[in-house]
Amino acid sequence: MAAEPPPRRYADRESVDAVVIGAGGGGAPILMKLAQAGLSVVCLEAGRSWTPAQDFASDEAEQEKLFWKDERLAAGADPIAFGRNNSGIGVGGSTLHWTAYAVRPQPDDLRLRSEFGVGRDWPIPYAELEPYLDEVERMLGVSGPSPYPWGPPRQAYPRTPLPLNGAAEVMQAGAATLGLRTSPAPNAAPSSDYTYAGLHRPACTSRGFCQAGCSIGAKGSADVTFIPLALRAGAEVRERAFVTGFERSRDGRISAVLYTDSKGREQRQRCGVVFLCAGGVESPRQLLMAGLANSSGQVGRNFMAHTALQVWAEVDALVKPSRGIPGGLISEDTHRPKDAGFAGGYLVQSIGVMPMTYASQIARGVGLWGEALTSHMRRFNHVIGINICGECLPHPDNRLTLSDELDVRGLPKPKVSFSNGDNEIAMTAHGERLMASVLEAGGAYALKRTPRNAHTLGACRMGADGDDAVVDADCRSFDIDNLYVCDNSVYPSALSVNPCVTQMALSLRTADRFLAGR
Amino acid sequence: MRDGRTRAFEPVPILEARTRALLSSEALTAPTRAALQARLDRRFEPGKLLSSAQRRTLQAACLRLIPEPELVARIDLAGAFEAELAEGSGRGWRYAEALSDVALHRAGLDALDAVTQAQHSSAFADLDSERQDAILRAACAGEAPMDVAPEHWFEELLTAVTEIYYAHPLVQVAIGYDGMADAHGMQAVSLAEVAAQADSLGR
Ligand SMILES: Cc1cc2nc3c(=O)[nH]c(=O)nc-3n(C[C@H](O)[C@H](O)[C@H](O)COP(=O)(O)OP(=O)(O)OC[C@H]3O[C@@H](n4cnc5c(N)ncnc54)[C@H](O)[C@@H]3O)c2cc1C
Ligand code: SF4
Repeated sequence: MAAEPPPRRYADRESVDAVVIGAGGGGAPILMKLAQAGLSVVCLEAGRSWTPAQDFASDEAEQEKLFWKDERLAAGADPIAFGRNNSGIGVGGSTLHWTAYAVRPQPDDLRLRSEFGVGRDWPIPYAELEPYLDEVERMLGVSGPSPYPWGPPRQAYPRTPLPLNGAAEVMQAGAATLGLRTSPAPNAAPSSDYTYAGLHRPACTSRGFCQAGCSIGAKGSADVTFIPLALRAGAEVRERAFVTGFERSRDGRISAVLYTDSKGREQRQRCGVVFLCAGGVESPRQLLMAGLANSSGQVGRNFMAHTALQVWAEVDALVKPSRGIPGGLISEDTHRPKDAGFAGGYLVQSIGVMPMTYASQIARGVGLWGEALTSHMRRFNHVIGINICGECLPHPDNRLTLSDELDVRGLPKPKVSFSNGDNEIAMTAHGERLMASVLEAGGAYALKRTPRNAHTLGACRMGADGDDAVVDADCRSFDIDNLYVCDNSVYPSALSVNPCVTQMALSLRTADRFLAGR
Repeated sequence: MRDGRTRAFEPVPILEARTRALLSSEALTAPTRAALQARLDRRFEPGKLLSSAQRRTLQAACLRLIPEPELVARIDLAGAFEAELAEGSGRGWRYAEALSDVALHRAGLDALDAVTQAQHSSAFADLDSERQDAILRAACAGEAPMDVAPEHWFEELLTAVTEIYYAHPLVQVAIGYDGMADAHGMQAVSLAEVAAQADSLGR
């Protein structure tokens, strides 16, 4: 590898062109683009940076260090499990432990309201996101089938599909019997060594530890893609810098970002513009704490989390369920099911799983304990799973608020109240019937269901109308013209796919729109 | 169990020797070995968060939640749970209406004992396992007589001890899991390949 220039460090009192808060899926692409355009830019990231080969163990409990552990409060009829399921910390954010499932939305995903009269449309047409999706897939080195069976034609994936594991094979066989089309899924881990923009990554070795961090640096996480390119272009990433607030000038614009540094000292970074990319929970929480950018009253509202029921089963064959890229196989035949009594749709994916996570879900989600639990876990090597990822409609009462309880930092804990509505319940029931038939047709038995909602979307939504949304189509605040929010919180609708590649594409577009307007 | 191929139990000393051999082998990368070795060697002192009565109740409950007594004893599941409670190495979330973890578990264990005293004039730990299970079933369902326990207590206790247990290298090896053997590069993935490599760990 060529010698890297020493990383840039801006002096404390120096004002920089831009501050990016959060080095995850939303922040990292913006950081790269702004630095490449020659701006002085500092990223404030609450977590630390990692050297995967030294710091990452193939061990779930050890890798809990990748998860956001400040306590969040979960309320409503379907409380969201955070921590391991729904958030990350560190340079790379949640992409450090994302499952690498790299699915694009389909064009109609962005027009839910036009199509069904419910939810919201995205204020951006698909055609505008498309070139950025292409760029993201090349950056991440996505392995996938070309041509891809669903949606409009697209560029060939940079790498051929990854090998299918046992869960994928059983789902494939079961689905074939039922006439449900399947395909190897696009995954952001190269099936052979991959070099892009001067960054080299080895082929995925199919250990299946994506959700615990990829120790060989194969997976397309932000720390091995956008971040090194940002550093190379002169950006500074200030790790263990926890943002606590903002300073404003008399005209109401933001003049500095306040944060606690790695030694616990209060600091202040002056800047020309702020990109708040702290994720689906922390971004709305920051705005509520600061009392900022909320003339619409929408900050914290419309919190969405995909319907994500998992169905597990056993097979006679030896599976070793943690093996292989976890989401090996996909079907998008359920994108707009003909017999649906609901708006939108979902995708179906096979899933791999690691033992602690599986045992935990079976205990908490199914309620197995005692002999039922231990005898089942002695069958762990024969377990397979599939799940759905489906649309979730925005509802103003599914809401993030600040609780009276203070966390370890002395800040109000975020409280997220979430209840699945009729649409989510109908979609989940549809998915459950389908998944059960697929598994049974594939020869699996002893089905177990773990209900779940995944991803943290929508609590600072983007839209065309400043009374109905927090940011505009460029992800700029309607209230403060040098404040941008760009992470999963700006999703106006959930999309019937996992969110990360869309997020990265949106971030690249946001940076370009900002740079064009300068 | 369709084919009856549940994995058989193995005496703990033999399992431990097998596990130590695996961990010190070249099948593991250094960070993975370090994490698992530390967990295997860790021992726990009684903490200060629970009273001795609560600790006794906890130990008895652990044995019914995870009825594999030799392994539960070797791992000191109750001790590990209490240590985790003290370290506050939390989940990152809790049910908004639930008590904080320490208060939740104290109250839950007290309720378990109080209900047993009221019903059977005995401490929970001294009850036979059938009756213990009946009370835990009520706790799991949130039904009488265990409806006096705080909401979500049973779920949180069960989840916490389950995670500690199945994160332990002895238990992982016992159930035939070999994902910690991560140093061999490319792994067998398909059903046919996995069957062909069934006994070669991490390949
Ligand atoms: C277990 C798991 C698996 C997933 N798998 C997939 C998948 O397979 N496919 C997919 O498409 N998506 C997946 N996702 C979702 C994906 O990770 C997100 O869509 C993406 O990371 C969102 O980017 P973000 O910027 O909104 O948040 P994040 O990536 O979480 O980044 C937010 C960053 O902000 C930092 N931060 C927060 N508050 C502060 C503060 N006050 N000061 C400084 N920094 C702060 C955080 O530490 C974090 O690094 C998964 C998520 C999880 C949790
Ligand atoms: S399955 Fe591939 S991408 Fe995932 S952690 Fe293992 S090597 Fe990395």
